[in-house]
Amino acid sequence: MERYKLRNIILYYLLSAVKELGVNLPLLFRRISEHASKDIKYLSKEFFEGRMHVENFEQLIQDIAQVLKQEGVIEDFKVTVTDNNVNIEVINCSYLDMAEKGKSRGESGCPICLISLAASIASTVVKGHAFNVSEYKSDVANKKCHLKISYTTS
Amino acid sequence: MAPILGGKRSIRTIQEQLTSVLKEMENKDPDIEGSLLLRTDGLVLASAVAEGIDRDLAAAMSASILNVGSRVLEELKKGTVENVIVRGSGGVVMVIAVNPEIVLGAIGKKDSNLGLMLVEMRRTAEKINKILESL
Repeated sequence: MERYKLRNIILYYLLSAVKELGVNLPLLFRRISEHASKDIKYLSKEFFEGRMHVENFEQLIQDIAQVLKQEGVIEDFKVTVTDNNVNIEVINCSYLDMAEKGKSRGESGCPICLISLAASIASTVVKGHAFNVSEYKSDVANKKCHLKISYTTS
Repeated sequence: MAPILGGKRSIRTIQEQLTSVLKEMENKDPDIEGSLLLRTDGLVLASAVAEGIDRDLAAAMSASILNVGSRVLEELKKGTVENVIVRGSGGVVMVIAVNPEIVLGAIGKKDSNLGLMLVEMRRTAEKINKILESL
């Protein structure tokens, strides 16, 4: 576990330096998502046994969160969908050390939330969706993070 | 960040309006070969670029140029960013801040009149702000 803590803190420093140099992290999100979406066949085969609901944004987020759970990246999750909003509650994310480090420096949590990155990949795969992370709260003491993702369909 | 592509009107209508404003800018200044309107996080709102240009990557790089310029000015205590000009042997790229969340980028020919280009881009930025304010 200490190995992950060190990895997470190094990742925090890396992202903080990138941000300090003027790279907008949501912009970085989009580029990562573009790369991942081009590799979607490989990702689907390797982690989803070839079954991804690429036609449905909400379902795809569920699929991705489920895989993150299976891979041990998060302990559990809860996804609820309201009008053009997806609410995700993440329990015990393995990157929580990064959120803790961010909070100790007066930030809201992780510089980049892995789950919202997954949502960004999902929105890139499901064409026609523009997404925003409209809320992000990290409750490190209770090992819970909450994300509200709003999206529009063209 | 506010969902700029939301609101009462359909996204397609707004995109068409914004694209039309970009095309109008290109018609007024023949030095401008292409243009992009995007959010600072790289989301493309409208574009009028030649085929063969990766629109999303060009948008991401335009946002990146302006974001880095903004950080440099902030660090050197030189106020807020207004525009960034990248001049190369084959042409020019000019990026301006339409507002704190929106970026307008234009691709210009070699030996473009930068003054005229900037004036036309500022006029276009005003029109874009009016459209976005009306949402």
